[in-house]
Amino acid sequence: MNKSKKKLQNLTPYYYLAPTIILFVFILLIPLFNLFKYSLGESNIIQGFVEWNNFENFKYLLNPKFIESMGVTLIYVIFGVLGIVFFGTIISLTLDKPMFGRGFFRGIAIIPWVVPQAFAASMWSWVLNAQFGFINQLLMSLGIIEENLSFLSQDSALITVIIVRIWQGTPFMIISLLAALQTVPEDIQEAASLDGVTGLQRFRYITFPFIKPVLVSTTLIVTAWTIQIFDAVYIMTAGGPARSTHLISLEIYMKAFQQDDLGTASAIALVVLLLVTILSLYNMKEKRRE
Amino acid sequence: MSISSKKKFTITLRYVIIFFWSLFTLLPLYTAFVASLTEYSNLGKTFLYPTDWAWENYADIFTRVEFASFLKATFIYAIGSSLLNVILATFAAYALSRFKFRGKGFYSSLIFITQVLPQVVIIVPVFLLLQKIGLYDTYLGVILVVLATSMALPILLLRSFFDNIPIALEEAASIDGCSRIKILGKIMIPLALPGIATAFALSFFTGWGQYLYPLILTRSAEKTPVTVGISRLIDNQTPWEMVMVGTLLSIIPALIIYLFVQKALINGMTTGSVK
Repeated sequence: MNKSKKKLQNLTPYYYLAPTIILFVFILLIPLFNLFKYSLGESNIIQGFVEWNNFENFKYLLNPKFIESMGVTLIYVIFGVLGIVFFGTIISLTLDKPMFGRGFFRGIAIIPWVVPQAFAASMWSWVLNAQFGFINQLLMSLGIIEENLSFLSQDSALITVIIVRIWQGTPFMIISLLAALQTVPEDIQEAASLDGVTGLQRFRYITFPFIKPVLVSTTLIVTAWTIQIFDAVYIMTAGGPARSTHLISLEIYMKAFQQDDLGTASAIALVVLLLVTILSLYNMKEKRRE
Repeated sequence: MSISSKKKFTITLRYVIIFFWSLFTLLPLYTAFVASLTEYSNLGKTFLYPTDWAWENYADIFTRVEFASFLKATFIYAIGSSLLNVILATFAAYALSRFKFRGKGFYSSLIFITQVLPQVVIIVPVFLLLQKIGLYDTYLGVILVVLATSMALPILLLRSFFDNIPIALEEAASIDGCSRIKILGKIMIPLALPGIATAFALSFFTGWGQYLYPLILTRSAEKTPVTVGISRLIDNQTPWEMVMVGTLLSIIPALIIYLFVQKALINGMTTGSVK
């Protein structure tokens, strides 16, 4: 093989990667660089960066409104992810061993995963509708309640959107854990059950160590996804009532596209980006360590 | 407790759990179905099962809103982004699977991170970018942005498929004088077809469900997808029966594809995520 041909050979992988790299640079890298630029000054949607303003945008990060929004997001993420991990673990353990109709139930359990967030939002809004919703009608006709419950009031809306998040996010956890459970050796489990080990002990000492890596990395990814949920909450509550579901993602959207304060929106976006990147890097480190 | 009664208890418990979880999962779909067959004036009067059987709702949606146009836009976003995604991912995954090159680790890390880049973060600068380069309010603009933020999964998935194809096959072909690109087309792609189908289905769902990107990056009515079009109907005087008809009609294509590829999809997802 002559030298120029060898050089050409070495370039082959780069040709194959070129389209994705170009896409990456133009649609992600340059915009992210611009995002950084917008955050450093007075910026708006029409002109972009206008002028340097002495980190004015970042002062908003200390504003009580922003801190409240962070608090709402924190509750949403913690309870959303806890719910997804909890139910995901239980359902995948339930579906792990052969049972009649297992494939059928698994098929059902994963359905929400293919339902777009926007439609999860429209359907749940109807289920929980304060006047005509299924839950209210059911509880009324059973005589359990006498007045309609409001599931999207200031006190209840956050819990409601968390439940919708759990409905939507659990299938991914189930898929991942079901795969991880396949790696638990059958013979150890059998030996344990003959030795009279209880179910809980078996999970703690045999199953859990095997599924732990997948559980950890899936939880991290689900956390990163939950931080950025927008569609479902925006459609169900638009952040209300009284900012009780005003997630940080909605804050970015409203600052940028409704209040035309691109600078502040970019500063907040950088915070979210930082959080998500840390989670992702940590996840990669964990994966490498295995 | 004896072993057999313990076993009975366990299996009963498993059925109880999965039964209630299935109820929770299907509840919104079922109530949507009931409402979709109810006349507006009867909403809330019947809720356990449909009594009106108002199938005309399913025809009315096409006249009361631009539903056909919404569907068309959604199809364009879904097909466009999934086709491009699969093509780009095949090349990228092949390079990652079969070559050693400088920057490979860096590239893999970048790809990994694109998986979690928040849409709401990207959308802010991308909105200005697309306006500047003339791709605002175009199908292509939305498709490219969807592509950039969803290319990670197909690449990782296809990479693990290629990794599982024995390298000896390629060596044999290479001795026979096949070029790289021929090897990819004649040997690797046919062997990885289940993986490619899975990647296609995954990207299709992603493109199908887009809400924020088309909401912000388009303005004209014909580029409004079902997600945006239907959720816009929700306000103080929501015609819920129409919203539910629109919702179900929009979910059904994705559900049908899901039923067909379910097994391959779950297998593919898990080879991708466990590794």
